[in-house]
Amino acid sequence: MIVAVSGPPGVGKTHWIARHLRQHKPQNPCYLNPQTETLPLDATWLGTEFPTLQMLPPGQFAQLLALFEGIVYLELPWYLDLGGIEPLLQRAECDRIAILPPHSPETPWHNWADQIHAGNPLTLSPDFHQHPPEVHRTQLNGKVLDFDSLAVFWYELLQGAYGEAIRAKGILEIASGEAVYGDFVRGRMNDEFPALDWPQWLQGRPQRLSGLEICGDGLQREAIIQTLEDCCLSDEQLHHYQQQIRASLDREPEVTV
Amino acid sequence: MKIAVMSCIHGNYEALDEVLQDIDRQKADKIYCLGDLVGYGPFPNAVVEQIRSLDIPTVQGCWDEDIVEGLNACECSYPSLLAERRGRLAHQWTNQEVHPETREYLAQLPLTRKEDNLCFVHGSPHSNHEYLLPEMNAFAALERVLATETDVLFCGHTHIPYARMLHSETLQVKVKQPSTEAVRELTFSAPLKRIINVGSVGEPRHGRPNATYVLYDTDTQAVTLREVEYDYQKTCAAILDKGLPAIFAWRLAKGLEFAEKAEDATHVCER
Repeated sequence: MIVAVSGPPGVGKTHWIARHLRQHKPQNPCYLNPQTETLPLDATWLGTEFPTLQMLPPGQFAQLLALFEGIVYLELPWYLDLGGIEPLLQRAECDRIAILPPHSPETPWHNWADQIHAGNPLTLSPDFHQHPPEVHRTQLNGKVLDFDSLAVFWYELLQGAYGEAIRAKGILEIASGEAVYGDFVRGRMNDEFPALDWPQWLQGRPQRLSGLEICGDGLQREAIIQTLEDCCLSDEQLHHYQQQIRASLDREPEVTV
Repeated sequence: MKIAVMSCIHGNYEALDEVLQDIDRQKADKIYCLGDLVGYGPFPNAVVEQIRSLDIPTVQGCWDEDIVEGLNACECSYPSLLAERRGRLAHQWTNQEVHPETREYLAQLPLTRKEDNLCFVHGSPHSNHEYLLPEMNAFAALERVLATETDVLFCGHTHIPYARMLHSETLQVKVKQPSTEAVRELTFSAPLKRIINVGSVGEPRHGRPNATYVLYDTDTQAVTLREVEYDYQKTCAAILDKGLPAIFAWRLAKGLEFAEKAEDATHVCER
């Protein structure tokens, strides 16, 4: 069975899937988020929260669908053509779920969905579908950011210094060796970065996914890239930090409970 | 006598011009300036030229010092790598932009000025990089004023204005020399002292783009904080026009500093 979930950026599609997984605890759940393969932030976040969730390789989705017996969560980004994916959805039993802001005016999702659920209270621009927002993705694999710099950049981003950001999310490596998750939706100021439950990376540049996705209007891509670059530690700085953290961890007494 | 004290102009000529007009309207008898004439803003030469032509007694700020002697500020002056990189960019740009006569003027500025019972410094009497924050420990704050041997210490550097009263205090110090058993007791009685931070003309940090300065009446000891509106959009346009980072213009318009600075001189370096 497919549970196809769609809606505008920042409305809470991934969080709805996470809630559904927690409530229903399905056997052999699978997840696919098409057209985000270059920077699968949602898949990575869900994989961290639900280690048994299988991630489907996008290219083999159609073939696997026929063989698969569990639930497949299909998160459809707002820029994906819903008509184009419909033949695939019709191959199996499918629930079409639209997550929309409360009291949303009529949208193409209303015609498409079997069920509509209320998500975050976003204000959708009236011409959202005629002039959809831009998406800027920056892959930051191997980059490690100075946390105080990240906080400054995030504040500036949220306050409109690099264009009108309506949604930003990212997995970012910081100097402590932790990976943190940034999550912003316009109208809901969130300047917290919870650490992901990943091991601290304390030897060299992290070899795992990190990056940032921003949706909005008039995004100043070059300035965003340059500022992120200015937040990053050099090899020398990273080495210095990692050495200090490793030394302090070595000094910590063992506690037996 | 009514004096006007201003600080931290940071190459923002529009702000300076408006503040000077306001001082004129307030009929101040004398103007003092606490340094940081240059750095971040687009008009370092024009600002220095104006201060110089009006013969305003001025002390050297940390940015003035860095332009004269080369960037030697501890990296801990900045609370983040990003701020440090922006600071370095601003320094590089200013360093290329300033004329030799501007640099000469900045080089001869004193670190401290005293007039009767008033002392004028940029950061603190000990260093033009030190931040005298309003919440600084009273003992340390009093020590800074006592070090000047005056009653009123005017400073800037933090970009947020305040006036702090340090009421009559007695300090007792016991000194024991390692070579002898004798203990020498010293007692200091300090009458009322004051620290007055005059804020910033060209790089405010109070959430609005307006310039701030202070009027002080030497007869009544009355302190008046002035907040002056000016055409900050002109400065923002000049920042872009001169090729300074666009984020400086955005931050100025928001009443944030061009690049944030360490809140505290005791900021612990994490690098």
